[in-house]
Amino acid sequence: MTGKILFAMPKSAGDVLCSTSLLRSIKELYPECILHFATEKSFFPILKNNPYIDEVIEYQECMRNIFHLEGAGDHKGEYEIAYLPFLNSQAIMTYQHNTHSKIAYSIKY
Amino acid sequence: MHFLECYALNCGLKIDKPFIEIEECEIPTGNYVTFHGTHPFQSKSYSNWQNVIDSVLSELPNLTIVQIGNEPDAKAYSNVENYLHKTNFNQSAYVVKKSLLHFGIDSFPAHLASCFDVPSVLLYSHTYKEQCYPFFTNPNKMRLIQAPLNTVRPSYNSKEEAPCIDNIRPLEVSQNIIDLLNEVSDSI
Repeated sequence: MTGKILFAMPKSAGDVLCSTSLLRSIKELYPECILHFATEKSFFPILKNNPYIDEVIEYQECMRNIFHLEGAGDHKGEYEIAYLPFLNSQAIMTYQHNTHSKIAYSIKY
Repeated sequence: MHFLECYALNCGLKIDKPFIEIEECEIPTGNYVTFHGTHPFQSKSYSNWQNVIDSVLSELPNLTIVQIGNEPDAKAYSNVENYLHKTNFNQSAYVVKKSLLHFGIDSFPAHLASCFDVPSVLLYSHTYKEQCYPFFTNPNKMRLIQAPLNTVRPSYNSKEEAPCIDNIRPLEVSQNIIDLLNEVSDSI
């Protein structure tokens, strides 16, 4: 596969740092692809000179929509694959730990 | 489940080592530990850090405690070397990497210490420690203190009416720091 892959982690610093441990796996799975990492501008220094990232870009609200990123119907998205772990992982994890009233789906980044 | 395991599972990716570029900067001479105790989340704000600091220093007077952090309204503590607002992310990585131990709250410096397998003593309050512990640290090199909760489950709330983090006894924190330092370092 060729083309572009997006990994988005808007915040926070600890999550951005820990997420870098997943990038090698992406590059091994898709060595021909260009990897973009999207985050808030203030966290760009954490990703400086990361060997697995081709470009660090600023996170935007529209990146919450996987169909906008990957395409759907007539819309051809910019990315072949978009990894958006921040969108639902927090909610799943919270649910697993039984804090039903605090599922984080509505958190606005 | 740790949040990183959750991210990995969610994306179908394997977890490798994290990466951050280190930027050298001035560091204290001699033995030092790093400390990060301030956070915009009220539920992570511990009221007894000064007691912890004083208690550690009374036992280990030659030790330097370096307070790091970049929060705009971070409280500067007494009897520490103040590095607040003096280091960026990459310089913080250097300062933490060269330290004997890191202690404080669950925050970016805690994960930095984990990147470099620096022994850590960390406090957890509104989340379970199992979800956010320093993932890359050798389990023998970390002491994780979960605050006794005021509710059945952690609040997952950045603001708690009565922050459960203050249920942690300062002596428990300082003793863990001293014990872990004695275990991992001969030079103390």
